[in-house]
Amino acid sequence: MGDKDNLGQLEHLVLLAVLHLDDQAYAVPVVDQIRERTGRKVARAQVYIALRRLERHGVVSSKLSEPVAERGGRPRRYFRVEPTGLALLRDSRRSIDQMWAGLEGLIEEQS
Amino acid sequence: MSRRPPRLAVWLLERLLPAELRADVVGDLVEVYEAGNDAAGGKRSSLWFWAQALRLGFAYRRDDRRSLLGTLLQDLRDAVRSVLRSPGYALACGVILALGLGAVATIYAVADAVLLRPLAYPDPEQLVAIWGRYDNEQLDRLPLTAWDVAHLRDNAETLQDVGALFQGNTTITGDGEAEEVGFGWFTYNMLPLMGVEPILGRGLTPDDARQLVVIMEQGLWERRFAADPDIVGKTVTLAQQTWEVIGVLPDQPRLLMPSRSRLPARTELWSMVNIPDNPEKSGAWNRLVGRLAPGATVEQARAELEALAAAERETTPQRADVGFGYEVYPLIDDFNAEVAPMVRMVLGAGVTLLLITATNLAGLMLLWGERRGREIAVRMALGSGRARLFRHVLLGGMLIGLLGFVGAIALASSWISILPTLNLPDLPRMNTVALDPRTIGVTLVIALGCGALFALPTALRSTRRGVESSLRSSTNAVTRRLRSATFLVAGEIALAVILLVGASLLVRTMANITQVDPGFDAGGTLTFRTTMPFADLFAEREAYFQLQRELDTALAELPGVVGAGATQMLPLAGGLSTGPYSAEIAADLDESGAPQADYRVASPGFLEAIGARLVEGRYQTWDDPADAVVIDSVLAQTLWPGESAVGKQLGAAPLGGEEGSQQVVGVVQHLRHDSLVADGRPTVFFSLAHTPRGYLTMAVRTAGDPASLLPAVRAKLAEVHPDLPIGRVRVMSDWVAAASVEQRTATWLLGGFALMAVLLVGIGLYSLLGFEVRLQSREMGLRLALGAEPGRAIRTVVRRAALVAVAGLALGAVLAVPATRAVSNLLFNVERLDPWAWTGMLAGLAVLTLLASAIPARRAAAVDPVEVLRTD
Repeated sequence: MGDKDNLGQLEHLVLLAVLHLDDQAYAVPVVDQIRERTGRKVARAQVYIALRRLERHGVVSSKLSEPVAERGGRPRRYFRVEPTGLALLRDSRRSIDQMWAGLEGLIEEQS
Repeated sequence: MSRRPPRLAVWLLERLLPAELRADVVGDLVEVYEAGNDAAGGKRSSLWFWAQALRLGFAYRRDDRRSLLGTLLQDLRDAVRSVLRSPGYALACGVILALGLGAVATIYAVADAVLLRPLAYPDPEQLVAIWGRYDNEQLDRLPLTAWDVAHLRDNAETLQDVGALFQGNTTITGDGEAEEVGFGWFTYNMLPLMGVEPILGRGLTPDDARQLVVIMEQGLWERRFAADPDIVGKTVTLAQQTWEVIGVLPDQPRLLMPSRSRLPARTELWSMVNIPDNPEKSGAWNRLVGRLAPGATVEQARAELEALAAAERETTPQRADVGFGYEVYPLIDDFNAEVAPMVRMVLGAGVTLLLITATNLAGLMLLWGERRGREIAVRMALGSGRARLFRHVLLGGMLIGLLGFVGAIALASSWISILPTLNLPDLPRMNTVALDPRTIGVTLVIALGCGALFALPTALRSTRRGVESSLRSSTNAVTRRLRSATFLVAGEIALAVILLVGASLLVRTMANITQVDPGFDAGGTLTFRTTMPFADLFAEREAYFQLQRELDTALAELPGVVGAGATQMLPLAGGLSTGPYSAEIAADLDESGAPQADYRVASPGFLEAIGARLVEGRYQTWDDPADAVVIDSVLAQTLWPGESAVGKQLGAAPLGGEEGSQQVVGVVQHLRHDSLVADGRPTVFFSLAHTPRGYLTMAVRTAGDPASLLPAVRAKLAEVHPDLPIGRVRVMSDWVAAASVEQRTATWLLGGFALMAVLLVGIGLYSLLGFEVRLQSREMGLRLALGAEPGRAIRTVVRRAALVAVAGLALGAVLAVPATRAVSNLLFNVERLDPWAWTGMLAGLAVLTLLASAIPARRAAAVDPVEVLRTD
């Protein structure tokens, strides 16, 4: 999280992935989601650090599951987007949309 | 078949991860690894697991570091911001700390250089000074004889070596202007004993005895010989004799002399004195320095030398009569013997000032904390962590400490740089005073410590108590805090009382000293040292008298000059020369126990030139017989009360002359020779004709400005003889002023501290009252709205100030009574409980209290009821 009030691109993607996954949002599927939906090869470690920082700033919250046998008895950490996170996403979206306004035609013509 | 992930990698990852994330992150990685193995025969290699584990682990590590640094930086930014939010407060705290700490750092630097730092010789703790003591005459620190040097070297087992030295003066001529320099003699073992090595040439050996060889100090070598690298082997002319230079001694460590020696502070030429095989127990002029045997202590040496002295008293009747004993002191204590009490007094004053500074700061920060309490509560309500807020308040305090530190170092270094210009008493090692890294370090620690310590109560209280109670700002808590602040201010006042009383006593002392009549009129007299250019005064006596007479006459004939003459010792310029006296023709003068008088030798014009006052008879003349003496009024009244002394026979033994009777030709008013604050001994002025003296101080008296005489005097001297040097030029009033330099210095220093204390107390009292007025402005506004007079608000504030002042004063008075002991040895004609000094202090505090309460009182009276009711 670069600045307190703005989302970085990766953080943006991570938050959206958590929302997509709903109550199944732990780090492993979050990484998969981003990779599948964007086709980009994001580094696993970056996603973990992004999640940690988002949690530190109260944008997401997490809780541990019961131990899971196939993980050697280790729990999963499930994430949930907090109201602050939703507000930030909304802001981000609005800013991007506002900047995009009037440019759609131009960009498409060139591509 | 699923494979297990590499165990070592799991272990390593677990170590790298923060404890709270360990289980789930490792679990995730294991899950992905195993899933990869299962799916469609795909293989996740151990290498993949290793790579992922390391990346994850170190990514967390990096993140931890970055966030720690980020938090710290953020905290620091917050602290700076909150300090800047009340710049006046921060500045006040910074200035207070800078003043107090700056003064203390300066004093500490001086005390460290003068008193505390070990001497710059190898194994300095082994070096001791050895003196004689006459218990029956209550005399101590007496020089010893050559016999004692040999005796102690041979017999004292606690001493591995004993050396001796003594000092005088000589004149260098040739190679430029004639110049008087300090000349000393030491035993050949002195240099190895002290551990001082020549930087050029060699030291002395027993073979150098009776040879005209000298070692010179670096200062003289650089000043007069332009640091000539080939100086060794060359010759110099000293008192008309040719000496060979055999070595150059370093500037540091210098062969220092104990401060007790009133001889020139610097001895720049040294020659050798031999201890003969059968030395006599007479001629006590040696200052002894010993080096303790390895493992021996000063106490052991004292005990052993005490036993040796007891044996001496058994065998030598003269020594039994006087109650002879040896004294052994660590050399550093001997250097500091005279200045230590004063430096300690100033150090004590400095510590008191530091306490006042600290108390003041504590009070200010407490009050500030009250104002910040709300800000902190708001931040807590907004979700800031307790630990973080605690850090934040503490950092703010330390920031103020840092501010004070920077100011303190700036002040201290500027104060230290002006020290040499202050004409302070001749402190040993004063030239080495500097702000060394240790002093700076200690200052920094104290500054940051004060800042953090005094922020601590605020930090603790603000973060401990609940958010709501803080926002409500309970009246109880405020009252409690106000009470603590009141106690602090009262404590400050108490400490300031100590400094004020000390300063007042010293100011009274200075006033008394200024009123002392030294017995002569110092104004109008120029003095300087010169040396008669004769190798052997006694052999060339006639030529010497002729030259002295020519010199006196030539100077007296200068335009504007009313008198000129020479003496061996100026009054109040140091030096000791005494001898017995009696009203009888001296038959039994040698007997110990005879009363002692100051013996002075003067040329006929001297007493007039110094502004002495003739009571009866006349001054000596050049044509008088050699036994014509002038005595002072004290001696005249002691020996011949109610009679005229003129024409009487005085029994006295002049130095170097035959014992016998002297003819009194005149009586002058008593002159103070040793000190302005002591009456001193009676004095006999012998004729110069009686006892030739090579090293003389000339006094030339003019009706105008004495300093303006110098060029004419210089020219006249050169005209009379080309080899007459001029040294230590001073107007006589400077000698008089220098005689009370210790008291004056102490007065200035303590006065400065007291002033600073008053300033600090003023700030403390002012901010306390100001804070109270702000707190009570609502109540006062209501009262004013209900028709109370503004005068009443003013009275309330002033009464409160007076109450705090009286409480502080009472406590301070109790503390000050014993504390004045520290200045008691500097006082003159003033009792420690001098009513004037104490009244002065009281008046000062009363004025201070009024001043400090003036603005808060006016503000209290000017509270606008409407404004108060509106904000309510």
